[in-house]
Amino acid sequence: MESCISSMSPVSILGRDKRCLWCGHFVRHARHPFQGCRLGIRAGAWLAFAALCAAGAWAQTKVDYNFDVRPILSDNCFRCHGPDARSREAGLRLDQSQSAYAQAIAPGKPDQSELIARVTSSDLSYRMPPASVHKELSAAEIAVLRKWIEQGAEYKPHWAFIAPVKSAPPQVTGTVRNTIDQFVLARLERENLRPSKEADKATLINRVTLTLTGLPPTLAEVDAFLADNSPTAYEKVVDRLLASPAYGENMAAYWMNIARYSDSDGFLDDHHDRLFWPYRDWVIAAFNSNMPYDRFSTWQLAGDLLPNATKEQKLATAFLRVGKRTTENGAIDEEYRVEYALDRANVVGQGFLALTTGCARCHDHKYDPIAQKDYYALSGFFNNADEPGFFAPGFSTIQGGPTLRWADDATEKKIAAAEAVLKAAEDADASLQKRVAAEVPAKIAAEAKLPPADLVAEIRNSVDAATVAYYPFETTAPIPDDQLPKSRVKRGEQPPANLVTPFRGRNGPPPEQQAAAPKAGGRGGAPRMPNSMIREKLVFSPSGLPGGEPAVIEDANIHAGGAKGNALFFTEQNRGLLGPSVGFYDRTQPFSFDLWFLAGSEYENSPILIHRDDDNSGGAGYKLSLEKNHLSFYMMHSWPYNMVHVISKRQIPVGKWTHIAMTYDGSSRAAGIVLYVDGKASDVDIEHDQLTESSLPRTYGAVFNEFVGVEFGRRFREVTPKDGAIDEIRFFNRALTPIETAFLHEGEGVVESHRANLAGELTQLAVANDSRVAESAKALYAAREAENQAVSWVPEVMVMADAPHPRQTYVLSRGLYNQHLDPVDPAPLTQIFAFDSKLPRNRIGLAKWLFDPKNPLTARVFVNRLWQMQFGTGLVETSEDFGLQGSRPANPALLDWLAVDFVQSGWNIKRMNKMVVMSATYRQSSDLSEELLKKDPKNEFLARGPRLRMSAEQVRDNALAISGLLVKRAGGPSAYPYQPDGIWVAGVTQYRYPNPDELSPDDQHRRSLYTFVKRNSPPPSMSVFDFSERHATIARRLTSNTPLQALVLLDDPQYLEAYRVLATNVLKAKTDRDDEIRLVFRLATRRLPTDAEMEALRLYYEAQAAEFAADRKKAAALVKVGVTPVDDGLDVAELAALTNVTAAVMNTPDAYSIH
Amino acid sequence: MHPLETLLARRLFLKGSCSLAALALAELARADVTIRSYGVLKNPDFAPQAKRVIRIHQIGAVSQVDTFEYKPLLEKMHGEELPPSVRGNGRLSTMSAAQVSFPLVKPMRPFARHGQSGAWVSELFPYTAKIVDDLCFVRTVRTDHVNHDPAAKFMHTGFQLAGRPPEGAWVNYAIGSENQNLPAFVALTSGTFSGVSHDASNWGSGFLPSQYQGVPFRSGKDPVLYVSNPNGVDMKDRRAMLDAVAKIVDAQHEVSNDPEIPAKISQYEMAYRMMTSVPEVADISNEPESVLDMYGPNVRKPGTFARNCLLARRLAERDVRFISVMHVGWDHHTNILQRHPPDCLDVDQPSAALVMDLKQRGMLKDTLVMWGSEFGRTSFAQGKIDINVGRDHHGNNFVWWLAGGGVKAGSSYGETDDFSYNTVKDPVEIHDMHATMLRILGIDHEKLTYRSQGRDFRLTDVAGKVVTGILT
Repeated sequence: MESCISSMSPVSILGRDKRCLWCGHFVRHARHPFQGCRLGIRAGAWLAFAALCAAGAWAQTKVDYNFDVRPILSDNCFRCHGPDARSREAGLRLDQSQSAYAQAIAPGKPDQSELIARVTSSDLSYRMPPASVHKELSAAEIAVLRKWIEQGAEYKPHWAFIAPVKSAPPQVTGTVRNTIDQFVLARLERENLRPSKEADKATLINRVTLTLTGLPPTLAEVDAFLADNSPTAYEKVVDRLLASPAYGENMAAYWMNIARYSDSDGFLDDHHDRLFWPYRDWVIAAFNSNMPYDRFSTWQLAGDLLPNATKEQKLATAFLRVGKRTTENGAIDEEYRVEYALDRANVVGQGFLALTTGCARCHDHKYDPIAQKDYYALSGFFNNADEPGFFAPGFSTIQGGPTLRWADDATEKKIAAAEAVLKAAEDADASLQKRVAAEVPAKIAAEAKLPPADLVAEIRNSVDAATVAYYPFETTAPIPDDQLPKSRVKRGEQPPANLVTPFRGRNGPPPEQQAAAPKAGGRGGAPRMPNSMIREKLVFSPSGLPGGEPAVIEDANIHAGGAKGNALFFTEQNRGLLGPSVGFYDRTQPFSFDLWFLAGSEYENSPILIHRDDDNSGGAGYKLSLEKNHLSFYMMHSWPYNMVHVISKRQIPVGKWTHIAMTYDGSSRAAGIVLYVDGKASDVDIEHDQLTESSLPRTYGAVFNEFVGVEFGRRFREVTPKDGAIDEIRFFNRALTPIETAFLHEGEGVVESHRANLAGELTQLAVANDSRVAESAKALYAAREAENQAVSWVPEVMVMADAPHPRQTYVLSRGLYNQHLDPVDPAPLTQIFAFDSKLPRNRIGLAKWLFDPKNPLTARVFVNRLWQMQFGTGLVETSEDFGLQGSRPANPALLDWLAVDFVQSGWNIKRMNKMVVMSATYRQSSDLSEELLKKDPKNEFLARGPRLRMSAEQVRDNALAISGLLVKRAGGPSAYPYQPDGIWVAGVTQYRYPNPDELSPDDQHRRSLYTFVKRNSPPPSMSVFDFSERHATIARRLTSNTPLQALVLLDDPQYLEAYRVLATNVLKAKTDRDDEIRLVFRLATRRLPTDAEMEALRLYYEAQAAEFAADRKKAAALVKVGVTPVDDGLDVAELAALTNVTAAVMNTPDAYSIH
Repeated sequence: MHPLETLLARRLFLKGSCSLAALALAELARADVTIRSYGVLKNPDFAPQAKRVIRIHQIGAVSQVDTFEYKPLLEKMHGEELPPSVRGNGRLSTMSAAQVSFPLVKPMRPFARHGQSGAWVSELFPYTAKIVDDLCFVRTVRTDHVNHDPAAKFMHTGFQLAGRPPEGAWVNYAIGSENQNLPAFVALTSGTFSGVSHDASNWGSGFLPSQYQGVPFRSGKDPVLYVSNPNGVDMKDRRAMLDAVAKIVDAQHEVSNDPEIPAKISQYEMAYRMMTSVPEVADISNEPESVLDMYGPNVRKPGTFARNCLLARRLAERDVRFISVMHVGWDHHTNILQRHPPDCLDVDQPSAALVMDLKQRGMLKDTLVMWGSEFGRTSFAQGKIDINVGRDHHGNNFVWWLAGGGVKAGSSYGETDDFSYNTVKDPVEIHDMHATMLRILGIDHEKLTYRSQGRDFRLTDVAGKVVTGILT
């Protein structure tokens, strides 16, 4: 949402927009004249002007460029006369003195300044801003400009881009509890305002408990505080709160907005096949342990790059990958890979710097010093992620890109043991092979003297013994009906339960939709032919081995001209598959294959043999293909991070039959793969060398195209090797030795042609055929397989890691993923703060730049957000934008002092939170006087305490807490509290929301931080309370007021249950109605009711009690809501009546606001 | 006005409170009278030609060449290659990008001309064929997107990534609703899972405050979430509780002077009114048989497209400002021969009935109906031509139809080539459609902005021009 223009849609064509009358500039954006500040977020020049006037010193007051003038220029002029070079008109920049003085401003002489003439002209063709932009300067704004020019038109850098300094706290009179108060009182003096009195103790403990922990205080805690008359009573409360686990949860709930945390992918399918709650739990723990902000952030941005990175440090980088992920069939990989890199640039800009960096995606930023190339340089830190753009796990449970194993201790121990056994087996095997090789030279020497025919026979025997499949493509045969190939997928087969997000719609859509679901030719039902093959066009091509499974070919085009006899010639349409059991090898098994191939042209990227799941189904398996006719072979668990991938340096020729062989030793290493072209091993480029989990296709994983074994020819998403041909495919159950592959290429002549190396190659052959080696291979395989099984079925968190080969970053024209302009090196926003050239150009360097004490933004931005958490509004209201269009702090000296102090304290978050809540400023009463309502309705000057509506999470958590329902267990998988039926279904999703009876009651009553966040269908009752969307980083939630909120608090079962349980508890504790009301009221608001409140509730309670006594059935119905059993010991009418009394109290603003 | 609202209002008035309180007062004061606008736009930029919009989105992408875009050459060239010169270097989805052959596929069913206007319509749409003289076919709607998710978001919000407000939220923000008992922006969804979906961002509020978001109307007991009183609570009880709440709130306001408090009470009162008005609008039992028959048999099943069309009319009747009707289906990459006709059957009769029903009630003249998909489908086959043939996504040009206030009935706009592959004349961007829609409502799309993250955003982003050729 940050970027103006898409990667996918070109920037507006200039001709489409209106031309500026004055400068000929094309106008792009406009602000609606009637958009008032009620809805906008502009503090604006009005305030500044009003402040000037209020001070009554207009004539003497020095107009400040940053606070008075720049907002006017930025909002009205910079679009055409600002930083963006491409849209600049008349060569005039009003954001820089040089250009402005030369063309538009005569310092000291407003009447000779073109700027003033233009903005005041009554000639519409001359006046600025032009009418077409729908902007007009007010008289007050013009007066400010005039004054500023009169005083010399002094320019200053934007306040937020100058490093903050600690100014001496002003001397003031009034209650000063810490430095904050000195700055605040000084500001109030300037405004002629007086601070409010301190809030009463009940209000204070309520407020501070809620703002620090997100939960209300218990009545015992309130009473203890009321009874504690010591001078440190309040501080003791604050310290207790900062030490409570709930503090970290409350902080984490905020950080989730920055991290755009979600349990689902977003985009079209919005799959849930991701595991990110361990990251969420890490965040909670980090806040609770008071991890310094610099470390907290550095781990999230670059934990994987730290020396000897720990599991925890790697886990923190999930921050970078918890964003959206597309699984839409048809998505272009590079397009989304770029999108993810840019998303992270936006997260850094928005999350740490409060800058709208995304605005520079298509052009230089219109207001802030962020050039388009700066934006892409920033994205460069993330452009090297070893991740896919498009990756769809299907049902495979495989994650794309870098992952962190998320195993319990027992599993980790099991894995460690398996790894130790494997290491020992590998060592044993290696030394055995060495020993055997050392034994054989004498035998070899004798053999080498044997007649070539004998040697050939030995090689042939060796090869034949290893051969497990052979397809000569000589003939075809019709397929009897009973032998038609079946889809290999066993429908209904389940992936391991521990890997599956529950409630995926494995049972299909809900019953009412099942009836309408298409059946004919569709999915499900009886096994069918694989990949929609057409029966009429299928033939067998028999195996060359006795009893071997035949190949199945569609549109067979087998004729003479093969490497040997006939061959299969590729058209655009034909395709086939080998016998179902052929080639089914995991990474643990040595195997080989060879074939003859005739390339019809130089293929950009065309497959030869494919043995893998479809891209929609995780993609595990192996594939041999031609990339510009270089042989490319990979074997993967998931693309591109967990795979071995080599590309031959040799190309195969066009128009000539070429022999190709691949041998693999079962080691999971790139070095274990050898690619042979015409009998000779080719040098290779190693693209990836990290295969740590099973590479077998997961047969339950299919979404569209089932895994069917070894395939060739036309395949979905692949470019057919048109005009090519294939012949003589063989598979072998071990890694062939060089002499064997050479034999397969040239046959009997191999002994003569290999004379020079014969001894060595025969040694290899002998070792391969040695019975002890074969035994060892079995043991090694068993050890590999044990390790493979131990590691391959463990849940994984997506984390960050860079690709082995750096990827060049480019400026993208119009933000389009494939429109490369200049190359750029990774760099942060250097126009705002210089990048020390000694720092590494990676994410570590970025973190160091961010946390350089001189960085003007990082500390200010975070301190401001901590302030926002405690006060509802930051010292800078636009906590998401510290740029030129953002609002300006009413008390910049305070913000700067806090920022510097925060850095000096070692980025100590708890300390800063404590300082804020310990201040007299925070402790003021939040009641509004007439004067304050008039002079400072938004509380910018802080003459009163905070007053805010609870956040979406807090509203619900509060109700759970006061009713005693709240389950305080921290962390773990996300929870599914009550949600009305059908909400997910309405989005036509593949997941269904679980029924309460499928879950433990705990699930209904966890803190809202743990509620499952589905990006495309956010939790409905939190949404209406302004819960943040998780598509991008959100620094600040707006607070709205809608009837839907009333409906939730009145009718949502979650709340009705809480009201009833609270009433139950009260009825059990008290016997007198007035006492009951008082207790309900106290539980709900932590204070006693006033007389008026008491009177209203007394009347209501009596009426309700009478009502329900007369209709006990109705009472029973009301109290039944929820999973918590009804207390049978209570009179149901009384309970129902008090439930409604509770509901009434809970629906008053004091019960869901912080004040 | 409820007595307690009056009480609060009077106190605020006597105290001469701040602007926010005054605003709340003004809102309270207006609750009893019909007002023209509850949005930021107090006076329209242009004379409005429609008061409300019904926006029908066929998610999954309707094949234009099988429905409303008649291309006889496809019959003749069935099975032959789409000439490479026609295809050019345009973007393809990765589902057909690997193809080397692009065989043309003829329309599934014959087309015929209908009405005075002589519009060509496939026999798959017999009911729509009867109302062509009320429709304006825009044949050259285009999008740059080749995937559902970005294209659908672009269609709703003018941007391909989630996070911006959809059309309905913008309209709500601009001109609010004339009915204070129902939400201004309502979303209705139907369809069966077929690989595509839609999500809350299509009716959310994006960066606008959440009071502008669309409210989903659902089938079943609670047409709006939580609008039903729980068991054991009737409207009389609810009134009693709200009266008790108001008394307490009054006391709380007395102490704190918080201007938000009276504003909240007015929201509670609207919630109370919705408890009656929402079930009333969802209850179709008073609809005559003749009307139900118009919409077809599915109208009797809650949650169907047909029912949603009827509900759209009922909401429109009550001056709900923006009604978004989303129907999932159509994603026929394969088996289009088998799968397209049932989808057509699903939507044809109800869509036509909605237009006719509005017309017979005299509402079509001030209601704008827009009907279309996020993109169209290729005239060539995805893969090869056989019994399983399908069509891939096609964004270059596809057909929407418009009806009602402000648009030329019985007209056609834009021209495409003989292969329905490229636009020959009058391309229409989604932003242009948005600009046109706002224009019909009396709003200048360049002036309707909202500042977020330091920038003034528009529904039409930095583009959009009113398609004057389709306006009356």
